[in-house]
Amino acid sequence: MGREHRTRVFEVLRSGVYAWRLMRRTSVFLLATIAILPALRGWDETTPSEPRLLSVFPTVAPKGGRVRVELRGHDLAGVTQAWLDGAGIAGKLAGPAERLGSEESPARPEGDGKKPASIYRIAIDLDIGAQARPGGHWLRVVSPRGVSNAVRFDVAGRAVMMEDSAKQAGDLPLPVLINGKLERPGETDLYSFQAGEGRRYWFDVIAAENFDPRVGLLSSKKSWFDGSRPRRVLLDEERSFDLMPASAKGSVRTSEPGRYTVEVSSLFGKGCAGCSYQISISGEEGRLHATAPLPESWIERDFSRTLDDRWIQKIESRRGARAAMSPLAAVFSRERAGGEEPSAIASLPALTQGAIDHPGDVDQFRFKASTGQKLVFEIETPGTKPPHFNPRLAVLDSNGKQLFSNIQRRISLFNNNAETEVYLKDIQPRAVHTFTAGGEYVLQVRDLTSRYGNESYSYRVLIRPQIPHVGEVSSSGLDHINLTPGRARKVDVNAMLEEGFSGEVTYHASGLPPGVSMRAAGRIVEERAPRDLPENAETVLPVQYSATLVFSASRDADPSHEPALVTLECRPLVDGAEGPPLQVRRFPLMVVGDSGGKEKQP
Amino acid sequence: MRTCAIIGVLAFAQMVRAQGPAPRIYPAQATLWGANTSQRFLALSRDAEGVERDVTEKAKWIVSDPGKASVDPSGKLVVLAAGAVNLRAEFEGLRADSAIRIEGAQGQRPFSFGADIGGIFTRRGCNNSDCHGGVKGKGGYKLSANALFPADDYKWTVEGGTFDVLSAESKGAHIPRVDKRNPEKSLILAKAAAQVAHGGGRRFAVGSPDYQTILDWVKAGAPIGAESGDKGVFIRGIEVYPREVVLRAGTSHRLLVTAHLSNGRTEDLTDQVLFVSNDSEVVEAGEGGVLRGKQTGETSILIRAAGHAVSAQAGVIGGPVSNYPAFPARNYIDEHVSAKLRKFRIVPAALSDDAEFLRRVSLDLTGTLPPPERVREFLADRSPTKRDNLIETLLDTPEFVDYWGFRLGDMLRATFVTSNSLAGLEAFEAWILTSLMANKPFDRLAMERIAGQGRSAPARNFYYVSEKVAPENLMPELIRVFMGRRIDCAQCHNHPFETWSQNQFWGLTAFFGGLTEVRGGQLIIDTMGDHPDRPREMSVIHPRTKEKVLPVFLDGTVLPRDRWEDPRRELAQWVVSHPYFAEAAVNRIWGYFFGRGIVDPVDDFRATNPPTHPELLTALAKDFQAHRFDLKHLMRTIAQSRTYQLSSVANETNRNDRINYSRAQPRPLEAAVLLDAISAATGVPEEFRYHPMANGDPGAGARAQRMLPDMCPSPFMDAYGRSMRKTPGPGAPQPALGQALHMFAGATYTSKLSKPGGRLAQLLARDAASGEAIDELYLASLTRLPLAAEKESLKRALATQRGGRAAALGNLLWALVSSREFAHNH
Repeated sequence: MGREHRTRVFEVLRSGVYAWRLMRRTSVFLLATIAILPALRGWDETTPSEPRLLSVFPTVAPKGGRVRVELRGHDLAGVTQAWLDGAGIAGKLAGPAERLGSEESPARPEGDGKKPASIYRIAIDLDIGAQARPGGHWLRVVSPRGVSNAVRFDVAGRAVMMEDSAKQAGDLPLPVLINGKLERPGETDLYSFQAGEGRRYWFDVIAAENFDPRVGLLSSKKSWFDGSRPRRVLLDEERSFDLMPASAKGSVRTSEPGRYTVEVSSLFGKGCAGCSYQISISGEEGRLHATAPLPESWIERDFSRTLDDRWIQKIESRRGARAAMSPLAAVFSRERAGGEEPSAIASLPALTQGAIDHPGDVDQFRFKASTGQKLVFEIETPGTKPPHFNPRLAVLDSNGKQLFSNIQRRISLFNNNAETEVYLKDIQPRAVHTFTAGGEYVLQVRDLTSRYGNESYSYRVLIRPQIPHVGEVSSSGLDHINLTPGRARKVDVNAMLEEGFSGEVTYHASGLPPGVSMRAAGRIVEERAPRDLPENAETVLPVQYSATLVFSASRDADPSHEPALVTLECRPLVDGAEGPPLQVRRFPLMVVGDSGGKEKQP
Repeated sequence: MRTCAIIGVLAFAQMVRAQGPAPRIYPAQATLWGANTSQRFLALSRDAEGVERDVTEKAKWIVSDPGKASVDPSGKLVVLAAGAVNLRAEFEGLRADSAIRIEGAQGQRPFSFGADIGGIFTRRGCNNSDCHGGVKGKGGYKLSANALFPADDYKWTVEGGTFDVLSAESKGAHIPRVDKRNPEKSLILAKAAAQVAHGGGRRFAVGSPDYQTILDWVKAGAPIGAESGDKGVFIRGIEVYPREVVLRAGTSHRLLVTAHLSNGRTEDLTDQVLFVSNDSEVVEAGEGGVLRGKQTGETSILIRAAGHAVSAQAGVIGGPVSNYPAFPARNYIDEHVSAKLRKFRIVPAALSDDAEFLRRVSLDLTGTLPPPERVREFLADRSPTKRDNLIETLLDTPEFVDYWGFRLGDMLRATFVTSNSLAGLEAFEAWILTSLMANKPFDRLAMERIAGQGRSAPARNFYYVSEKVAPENLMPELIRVFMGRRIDCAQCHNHPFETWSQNQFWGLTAFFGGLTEVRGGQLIIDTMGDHPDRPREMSVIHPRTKEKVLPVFLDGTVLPRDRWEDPRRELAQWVVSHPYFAEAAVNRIWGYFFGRGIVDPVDDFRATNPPTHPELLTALAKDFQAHRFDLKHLMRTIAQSRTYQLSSVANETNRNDRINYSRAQPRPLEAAVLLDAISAATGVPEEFRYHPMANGDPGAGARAQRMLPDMCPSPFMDAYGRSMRKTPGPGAPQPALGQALHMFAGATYTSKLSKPGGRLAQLLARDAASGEAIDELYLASLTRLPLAAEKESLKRALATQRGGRAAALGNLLWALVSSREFAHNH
């Protein structure tokens, strides 16, 4: 979904009150943090003048060639090199950075009193080897003030057009992949192609992070009032669906042959130097698909993960106990189409699948559980995904009473007419439950709404024994680190302790340059927040294990010439025994000289 | 022989012509029940012009068996004994009969507080909304308006106490209005008879029938009697006859009011109800339903009975029209409209000329002025179907989508505030526009809006605040928009004028009681029973009783629990299948085309605000429904009608007509349409600062109709009364001083004229001859060529005006765009 600009006052209020409650609850954590502060002399939150990238253009190029890309950002003066994560792609500076001016906000012409930051432009020649991995790559630059943040650059397995040549080409040959940019507010880019009668065409826009793209289709017919005004053609998705699009894509089966024009615009006309995008236009001859971003880290609470036997093995590998269970073989079962009676699941673990193939469809599966059995119910949506398909999973006992569901509820501060307490609700891709009584149960799967459903609303549910393990480990904001000698940088990491994992988590960093060290400065097991309800404590959310890591450079650490690639890992620690290393993140780290704090003007 | 026969026929014809056709009696037959029952009869006769008039008072009334019934000169028959009688009315030598059956002449109709005492309250105006029928009553005494709730009235009368919005317990001193020990000293009598001080003055005299009825009731112990229930007999509805009365100034006509009882019988209520004229300067309504015509015009008569209200239309016609012109009907609209025009002797205007039609239909269908080349093209077209062709063309333009998107945006209140986010607003706007592009059936659009769920675009507007904006604010707005009824008042108290009760309000609100957000507001759903111990909640709290109210349709049908799966869809389904839906929709669209609804305001249907053309409204609604709620079909039907295509030029008979569609009524352009029209006429697009399509960047070219009021500041549109979408519906373009200032000094009217690249600059650049320039400016602004006289005088003025040709043409363009002809759709 596009980023929604939440401006509600009550959200702010909610955040404020939540923060207060959180502060009260985590006072121990705060005290611990305060206690270690004296040890963290020379604390650095950020290095103010490190290079910061805003955008790259073009954003995609074919493999097996060279392309010049333009990077825009702040503090790019003095950049010495481009830095990529390898994998058959290398970059070289094509020249010094050029200062373009100040960043202005067109939406606020009166200004907010802050001095606008300078924008720089720098060109990089990328050599993309024939063996380069297709898909997303992270591109950074390095200056004496450190390594920059990353911007995404894609490698395509086919030819790519630039927007200028695509616009000038007249009717484009399909399929085509185009690099485009909406530089000015209100700008729209137009690409034409010839369509046959009754043929289907697809349009798929992949956007940069800083704007919400829109795609539309125009016919060659003009308005009766205004001969220069084209007439829009409804995309099939617009014609038949009242759902907000989750992305800028669509398709059409043309009723008339002739020239059609694809229009790329942005939400409320946003345009900027970094508003770059890729668009693919394809017909029935061969459809182009967007390249998916590569996951950086372990993700298990996501409706897109693939649930199969290997998934169980992957979970097993994160449990930490040396005597791991032997891999479980899930028994496959399928929803009985149109059946009134629940489909039977013969034994557990089991992998079931089906589809919410019409609005209001409720699929049911019967299974047996024994007293005290601890089970996990995981759900995947291989076809339509949230926010369009929001699978609701519930387990009912033999009397039809619901035992639990995958809906997470938290108490809101706000009230409505009917209830004294209002809940903030979410769905989780996993629900955990300990059965207090043995017997037969029914698993229900449906969409959260009763309004949508078709064959693409497919799902897979994995029912398996609980495997206590370390789940996702997040380190918000840990993209790169630049340290000056004698100073330190704090990083907060949160590990999710899944399915009753009761051990601890240790952290290790490898690949640190000489003179740089990492230690855990404090940690605490934190309550869930805000105000989870006790009745679903076990069901939907794991316990969060927070830790603070401190990266510090000794006073005599030598400045780096180039970034070191650091690997941050954690290990589950159960009964004094450490489990296998689990990668948290890989990121570049540099030690920069003291002079790095000043921006050099060209 | 043959000659004799011819003479005989002619003599008979002459006699008939002299005497008029035979009168008729209404009702033509009747069955009366109970002792002392009475029934009024009307003697009606058509005059030479076919107008039916009330000759009751002039007729001679004869009852066949005076032992069974008596009749007075006013046509009121009173039952004496059971049996069958014949009632005859003789008028000008002709006669009419009515067959009457009398049953149960010895039986007494059971007493009912609501019907008998409540009827007096209503007839005497005690329970008017400005008297004791107000929300809190008056002088410590509360009655339900129009005796809608007799049980409450009984309690307040016998026990005392007043209504409180937030509590079921009444506040203040409890002063009973009856004194069972000394019935004559009951306040209810003493006040009404002005024996003690009474703010409302004397409502009846001591000893009058109403006084006696109440006194007898108190003496009998003030029972509540047979009220609504299984055993009681109550009034299901009332009916007035005739629903439409035609009078001449100085003549009179009685209305008869009949109650339909729950036991299947009927009862004459004429003498027990209150008649109120909405315009007593036109028609005066007296006791017993006698209407008296005063001056030419039309008004509605409100009839209030205990717990019920209906209305009738009454018009006073002018003199006969010789050579009434033919009115060739294009479709059923014309048939209904012309029938009424004929009845009221109003001659419709001539058909509009092509230029007038082109301008009107372009503005009404697209909110856009046609460019000069299109005007020339249309005027030159000799095709007999060119008007139909034009309508089809306009319905298929992107400007049609813009304009009706703007209108639906007003109706559904598309704003940033209500959508909460840019993405939500854009989705909501896109849903409106794509619905129009796809010509989505209006019932489907309504269903998607009312029952918006999940990540549905229509659920992005308002519903996001479901946790914070209470459902009682959501429900009445949707009912107002899609059913044309304003039930907001019933939130705090029973509706003062209508039959909407507070319980009905909250029952309907309960459909929204389960609304909830999921995933940080990304999804809107109805409560899914996400708690093991709370399987599903679908209720709201009644503010007075503090009890949970479950979903109940407006007609009292409770939504069964097994249909709670998708309550708002159930409601939406009910809304779109209810007759209110289609009639509210067609009335709203009609209002856009004619400047007023058949019911006006278009979203204020109520018994006390009747339609001017009820049959037309029904026909439009049926046609709309039969064509699967196709908005374009409805608009096409309207635009094709001769009624719509009439000229705005008045004649002697329709000069004062505002409600019969006898000519096109000039309507001021809405602010956004006016601004776009000025841009089109001058050829200079408006530059909107912060217009949303340019992300706040000052930009040109966007149409004012696409500007959202809370995102796009525009002093011009503000001055011309654009809707800020704080309530559903269009803006109110009213004359204001600010508009005059804009006209004389505002950039829209001044600097636009001479801007480089504009129409004027282009004319000057190509050194267009004066005649060509005048034609072009007229076509661009007024959608017509100048009259010969206009053109000649303008040519002279251009040749002699000081300041040069550019200034002279600039002055002409300014004069054109600031003229009333430009600023109105006519």
